[in-house]
Amino acid sequence: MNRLALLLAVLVPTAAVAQPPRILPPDPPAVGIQWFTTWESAKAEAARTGRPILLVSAAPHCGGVSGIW
Amino acid sequence: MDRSFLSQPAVIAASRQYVCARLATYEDEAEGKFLKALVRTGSGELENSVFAIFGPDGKDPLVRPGRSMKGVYKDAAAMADGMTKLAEWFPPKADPAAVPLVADVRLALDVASADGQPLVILVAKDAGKRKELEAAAAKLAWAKEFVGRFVYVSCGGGDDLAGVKGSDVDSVLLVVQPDRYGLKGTVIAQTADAAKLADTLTAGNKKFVRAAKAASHVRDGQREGVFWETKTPVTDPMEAAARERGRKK
Repeated sequence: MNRLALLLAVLVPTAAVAQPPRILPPDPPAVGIQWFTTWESAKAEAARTGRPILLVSAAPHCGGVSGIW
Repeated sequence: MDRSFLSQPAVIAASRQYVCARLATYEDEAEGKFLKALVRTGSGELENSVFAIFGPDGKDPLVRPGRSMKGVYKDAAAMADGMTKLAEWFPPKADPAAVPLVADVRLALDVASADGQPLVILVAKDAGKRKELEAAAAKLAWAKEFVGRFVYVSCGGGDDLAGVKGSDVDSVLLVVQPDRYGLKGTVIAQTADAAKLADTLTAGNKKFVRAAKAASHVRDGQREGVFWETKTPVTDPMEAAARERGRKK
């Protein structure tokens, strides 16, 4: 019983603070989608070309840290 | 941003039939209002990501707008197939011809770093000359050898280039390697000759070093004191909380 209590004392706090590893999405390819980055410029180009618009919005930072989508 | 879809070759190929807009959430007030009105979220506020497909008028969504393409398509192959079918309704009248510019150099460095792509900076103090430069760069941006390989921004030089190391005073085009956090950049190719833009893009693309993002990127950045100030408040509750936690580290 004492051994079990000792084992739990060691393992439980570890489990409680253990964070799952952050799984990053695959790195972007060298050749990707060519994005317009403002809605007005995209709308103007779509009107001129007659092409539909793929719209995505995302924040280029995570937890306040830049350089990552 | 869901790279599990947007990095797939089939989706990239399908995107060439579209005008693709990727807005930076929280960097423009008017765009924020537009995005917030587009998607109903659990918090009732604008949250980090938005996905939609529109017709060429930009008014009527062709799929139900949501937080992610995962709400519309089961996987990247289905998305590519769906995009191609929707595009068939809109025979193109012309090819893309405008250079896709990020709003300013600060944001462009961040976007290029996040994308793992070189940043092209067009530099001209005179607004008329800058327009000429943008028109010349636009022809290259959509050329087969360059499309989808660069992030672009245009500026007047001087203080706009405060975060960029190594630019010559008379350069009109810089190819820049952004740093890990997209806060600063280093010039890897440049030209003062507007007739040599294509050669400079090719040289910059060859010198660019693609660095994979580490799983510890956010943790490392928080430890190093990196903190990205957005132009408008971050209203996604989870992201706002993560920012506060990160700032306290």
